[in-house]
Amino acid sequence: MKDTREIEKQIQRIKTALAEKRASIQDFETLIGEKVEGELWGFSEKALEKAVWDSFFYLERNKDCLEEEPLTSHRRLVGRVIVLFKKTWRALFRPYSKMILKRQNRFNRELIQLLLASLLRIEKIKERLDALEAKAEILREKQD
Amino acid sequence: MKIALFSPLHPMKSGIADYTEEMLPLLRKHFEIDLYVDSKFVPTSPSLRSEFGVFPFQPGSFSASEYDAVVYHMGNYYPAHRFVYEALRTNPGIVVLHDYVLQGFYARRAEVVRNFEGYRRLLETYYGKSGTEIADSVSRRAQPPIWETEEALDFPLNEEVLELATGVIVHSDFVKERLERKTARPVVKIPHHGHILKTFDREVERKKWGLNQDDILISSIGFVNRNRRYELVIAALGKLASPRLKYYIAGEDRGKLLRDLIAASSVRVSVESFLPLEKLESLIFASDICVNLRYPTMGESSGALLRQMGYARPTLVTSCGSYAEIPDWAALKIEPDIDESALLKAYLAALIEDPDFRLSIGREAAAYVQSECDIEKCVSRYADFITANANKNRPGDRA
Repeated sequence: MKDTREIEKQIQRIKTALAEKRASIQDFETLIGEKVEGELWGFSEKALEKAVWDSFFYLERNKDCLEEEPLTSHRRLVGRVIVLFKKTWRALFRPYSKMILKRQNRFNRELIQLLLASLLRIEKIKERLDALEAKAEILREKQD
Repeated sequence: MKIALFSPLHPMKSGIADYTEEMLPLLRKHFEIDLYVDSKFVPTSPSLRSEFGVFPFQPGSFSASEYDAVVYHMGNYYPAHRFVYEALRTNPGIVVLHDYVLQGFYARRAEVVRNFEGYRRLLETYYGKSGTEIADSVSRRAQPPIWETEEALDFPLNEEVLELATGVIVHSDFVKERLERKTARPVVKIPHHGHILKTFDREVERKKWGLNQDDILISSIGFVNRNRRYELVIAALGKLASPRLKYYIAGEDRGKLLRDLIAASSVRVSVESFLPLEKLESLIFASDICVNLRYPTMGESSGALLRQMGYARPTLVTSCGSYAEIPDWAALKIEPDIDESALLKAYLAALIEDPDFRLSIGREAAAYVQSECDIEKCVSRYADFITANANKNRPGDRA
């Protein structure tokens, strides 16, 4: 190699090859070079969007951990005694559990807010990206 | 003109000791110099001891008024710079700031002198609530500590040193621009000088390191810290899976960071915690490729890097801080982004496969160090700055 320009060209060739390789990679696992655990990775963009919102609404519905679930027992004869015992037990420890769960509730509410804000931001960014892509397409067509 | 100079010197294992010792014989042509050293160490260099006045620093006995200027080499490594800092606190002077971030220095000092409250107050003074949060995280020993994170550049804790400085010498525009936003004191950029190079026979040196004709020796030198990106380097070399590769790391692994990485790797990795300078230079000279990644940066300039480039080795660096200022053709620069790992592997593969590419980059690296970091030019600029800012350490002269 004769001069610095040749070195810069060689560096550019390496970077371009890397960029092309990255562009040709279709799936995330190939990109990062290792297996990813979890079924979400196989989802299409639309399915992923649905899964994200489903999960969000599930979390949103269940954010209140002070909400008490009904106590039941599957045993026929001694069931009532067991339920009574569970109720007494729960009432006895309610002040302590409330103390802890109130804090958890506050945390959950903040987390849900944060998640929602992040998801909405992603939506807005996606909208802007779609609009920019549409504009770019129009410009490309005009250029052709 | 007579100056007092505070700097770590050998036997302290510090790049700044190498730096100062190389510069002193040339600086001596401009000034009469008294060297002040940590009272726990006696300089090992016989020529320094015979050619300079060498004094162990004692806080009560130093008199700045005997000198036209006092120069302090300040860095982040507490054992090497503790006496420099203590002297600066009572005698303002010209500071050569080798690291922009001094968080590690202050945290270690708080531990050693057992004054955590003072450390907390200092942080609070300069950074308010964020400062006390930093102090809390340091006291909890939260990992990683702030000086190993990107946040460190926002909270460098160099303010006290800047207030005590009558002028500041730095090695990069990256640091200079940041300091000029924080202080009205004169700040000058003088590049880290290139080292005085020895002559080696490459074949002889390669034999010493047990290398065959076809072997490719890759080396890294300097303290083993998290920001040196060894996990990426070892992983990239593992993916290249070439039996010709040998990787040599010369640096103290104080945190035992390499143990697990090496155990899990298929690459031949050797680690030596400390190599004397001659062996270190022999290693660089025998190497085909040098790797000197650092992210996040503490705003330091690497003497090791200039040694690698000076010996015409193609070197990979992270494109951040002062390293981003190296021309693209003098070192292979890697952005610390999503492609970091892939680009590192691609550059290593290209260098391994193409001896011409290695030679070209090495040649340009050496030419860059020779022209931009010439030691005589750097020392002459030191002399100009010291002369221009002399006498400001005397009472009543402070800006």
